[in-house]
Amino acid sequence: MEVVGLILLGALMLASSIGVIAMRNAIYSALFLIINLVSLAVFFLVLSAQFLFVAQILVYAGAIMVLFLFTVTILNPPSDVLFGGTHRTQYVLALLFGALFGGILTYTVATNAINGARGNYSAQVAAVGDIQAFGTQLFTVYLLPLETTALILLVGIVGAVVLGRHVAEAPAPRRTYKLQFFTDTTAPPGDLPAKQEAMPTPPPNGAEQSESQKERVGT
Amino acid sequence: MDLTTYTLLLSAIVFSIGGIGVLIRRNPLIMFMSIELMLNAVNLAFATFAHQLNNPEGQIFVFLVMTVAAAEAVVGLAIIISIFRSRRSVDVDELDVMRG
Repeated sequence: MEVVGLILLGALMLASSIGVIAMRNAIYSALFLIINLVSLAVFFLVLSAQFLFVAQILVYAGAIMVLFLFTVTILNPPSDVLFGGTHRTQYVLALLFGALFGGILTYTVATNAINGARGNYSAQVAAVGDIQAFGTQLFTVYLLPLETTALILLVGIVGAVVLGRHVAEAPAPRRTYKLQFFTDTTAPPGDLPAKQEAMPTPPPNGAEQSESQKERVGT
Repeated sequence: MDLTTYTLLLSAIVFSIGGIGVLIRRNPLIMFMSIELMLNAVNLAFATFAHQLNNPEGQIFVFLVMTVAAAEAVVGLAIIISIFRSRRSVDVDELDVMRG
């Protein structure tokens, strides 16, 4: 019964990974990748990595894929043309080398039995459980990589903020405000002018630039 | 075929599918998704060896890879958005000058 479940899970993972690379619509690829990530999380659960099961769903399927979907929706790419005419040689070569690489990897894995000496964590894992052994290892032996990943995340945040700034295409022209006095020739000099209006001078280019200025200001 | 060999085979096949996806797709978003596929295949291999050798260090490496992949996805997508925001089409073949 478990074998059937594992085979189905592997088939789901393979089908979804083929779906990622073979879809024309980018959103369909993202949804197939979500299926792939969740099936991988179930594999983590089968392999007794319970923390990774939760972390995979929270981080990968929950945060990174949401980011991908936001980006796909913002960019709104047109439907790709798979196997276009100008790149046919590249496609054939890529498939060939991909199949060759996959074949070499699969052959190596299938013919070599992985015999490893079991580490000295069996007793510890049996005593405290999988997650506590993982956490103890993470915070004692691998503390420096953990803090370095925190630094990496900080750099990523700063980079995203810097890259997401709005950079103006051209320096904004200086807006000069001129008071235009409505001088009535019939009024005696020295009196206050009849109508006094202060308005920004219209840009010399006409209406187009003012629209772009408005767009930049956001009114 | 035991569990270790089965998941390692899956990891190898998914990795090569991701590699093919990077090579044959021209949309930068789908290329990024194929890179994530490859990273996840490697994560599966790490977790398999953690299970085989009964050593939680493999799971720790998965955790670190996941974190680095998150940071890389953030910065990479920000770069893609800032490049392709003003263009009509998303096609990496059109990025042939460094001036952008």
